[in-house]
Amino acid sequence: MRLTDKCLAAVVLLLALAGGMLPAWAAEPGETVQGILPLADKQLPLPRGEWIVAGMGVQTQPQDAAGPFGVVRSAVLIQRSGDRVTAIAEFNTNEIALSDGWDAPHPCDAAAADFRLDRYHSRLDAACVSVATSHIAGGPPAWQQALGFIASRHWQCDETMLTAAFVVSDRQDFVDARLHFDPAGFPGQDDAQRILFAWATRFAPEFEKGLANQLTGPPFDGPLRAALLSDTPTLDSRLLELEALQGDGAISAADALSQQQAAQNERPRSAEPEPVSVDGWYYRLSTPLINLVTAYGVTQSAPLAVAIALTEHVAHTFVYAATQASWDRATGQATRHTSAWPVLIHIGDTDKPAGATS
Amino acid sequence: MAGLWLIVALFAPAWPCVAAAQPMLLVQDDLADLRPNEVTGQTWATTSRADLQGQFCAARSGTPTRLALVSHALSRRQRDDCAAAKDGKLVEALIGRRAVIAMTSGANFALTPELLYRALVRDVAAPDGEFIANRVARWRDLDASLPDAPIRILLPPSGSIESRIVSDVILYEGCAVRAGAMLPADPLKRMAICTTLRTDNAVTHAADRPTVTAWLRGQGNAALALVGVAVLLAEPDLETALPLDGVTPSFASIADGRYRAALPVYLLTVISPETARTVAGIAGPLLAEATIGPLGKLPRRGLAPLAAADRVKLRVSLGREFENAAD
Repeated sequence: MRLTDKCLAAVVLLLALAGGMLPAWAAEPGETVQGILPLADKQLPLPRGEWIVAGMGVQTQPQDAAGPFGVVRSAVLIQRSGDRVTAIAEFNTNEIALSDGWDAPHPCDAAAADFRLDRYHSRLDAACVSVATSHIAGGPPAWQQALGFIASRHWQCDETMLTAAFVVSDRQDFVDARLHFDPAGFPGQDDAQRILFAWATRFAPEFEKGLANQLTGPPFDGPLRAALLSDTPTLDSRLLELEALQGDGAISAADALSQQQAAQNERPRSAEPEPVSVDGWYYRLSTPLINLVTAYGVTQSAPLAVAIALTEHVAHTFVYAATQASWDRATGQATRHTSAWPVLIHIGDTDKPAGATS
Repeated sequence: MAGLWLIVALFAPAWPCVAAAQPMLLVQDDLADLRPNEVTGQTWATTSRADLQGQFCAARSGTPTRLALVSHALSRRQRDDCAAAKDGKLVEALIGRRAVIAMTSGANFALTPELLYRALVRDVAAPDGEFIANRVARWRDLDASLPDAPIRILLPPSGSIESRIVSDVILYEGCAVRAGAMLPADPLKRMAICTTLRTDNAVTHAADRPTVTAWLRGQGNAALALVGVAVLLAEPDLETALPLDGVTPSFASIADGRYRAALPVYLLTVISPETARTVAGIAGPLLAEATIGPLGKLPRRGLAPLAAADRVKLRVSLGREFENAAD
């Protein structure tokens, strides 16, 4: 083999090795994306339209917060109309998958209570969505890069945006996403948050599909357009699918009809515990009352009956609290994960130091 | 089971009696763009609004099947006369609505029928009661809260039902609010004064525009396009809709009647024991989810759909009518 051939072979080998180490596709600032942003081997959903990659980076973690997830990769994309930035997508996700999930505290807990949906929350997985108004002054390195990108093109960006925040995690991965929208196209403040929240609750499952690389079909409309169209898109699809199944003969006409009626009862639900109902108060009060009446019946003494009922109630409460505490302690030990939830800096976080970028 | 009739009819082969006699299928001329013939596979005659209800009700009793698509409910008298003439039960089913929505390329401001009337009409009432040429050029001239930008409005194509909604619903209502006392008593003159549009560059007709989105982008932020549901669905980049009288347009607000720039679309038919099966065979495909649902054919042709619960209820209730008639 001649020297030039050897050199060529070495270059090819190096390129092949380098190719193997790099992600399959890494977006660069200035590139445009539609529908899905691939990041750290996951699919991140984007509302319909052309999105411009404006910043890419990683967020470093405090020493004690780091788990074996490598780094947290960040991406910032923008959507514009003329010279105005109309939407910003901010994504954070882990580079390396874990095997035993992420430890508490759960990031959904900090979200504003008025517009929040805890889709599910178990030992191993969680998904929540919330909506708030945010100021986009500070932020992570990817956002600093995006600000430079926006400034270099003389585009305008409102400092206050309407933000839909999504968190989804499972045993292996997490995605923390925030979609910021220019409030100019929305109606008044309350209506705007309500419209965005209604849209966000329908968009949230897309992140779960993306985490599993199962995003298919056309991208979702953005919140403004979605608010114009049907407010029951999932139900509409379900009715159509049932009708098609009946047309194919897969289900009977009677089943199609009853399932169409049943489909109307499906609603997005929060995994949070319901507030104590009237029934709950009834059961809480009825036991001491029954004890009091029984004690009075036996002793025929009101002070003695009250004392017995109170003693029983206090003892019962104490035993219940002790049992609950030991159960919580036991389950807490059993379900502790080795990887803490990463400390993330979001757009608008002015009080947190920015980590390194790459 | 109620509703089964309709669902079975949806997928059943044509009933033998459909082929036996020619049904009378009528569609109001400005609803012909819904193209019901492509849904039912049968010919629907296009008839003017003025003639349609008369033709439907005056049909010879030998005509076994009558269905019509209309944009107005029958009056009580028409309903009584029509049902008595047909030897059956007259059914008037709301299947959706046609609507006009004001879209912009991003600006958001509140509209009322009165503002649109003052922006669009050729002659406006002067303080002395005379009607003079409308020379308002900027939105800010109409109201201080509106954008300081030239008035540029794209209207629906002439002859479309959306064009009629602009005239009969928006302009007429705005005119009544603005110039009520000054209007002539003669309804025809009143209508002419209220709905004759200006012809300067403030107003453009949609006929030969490539797309509404392109037109809006070329006209600046405060330009608005009055569009129907078909255009809205065909152009995914349209996303900012202006509220009318404080109600933001949406399929939901159109369906529940809060958004008023809309006209209903009714399916008229007469159901008797003899015609129940035939009518079900034609009405079934027309009322299917794949036709009147938001993802169906008719919304893409301009029909604003009913709410999901109402669509299911419609199929169930009409199915019950067919079932009862056949029993």
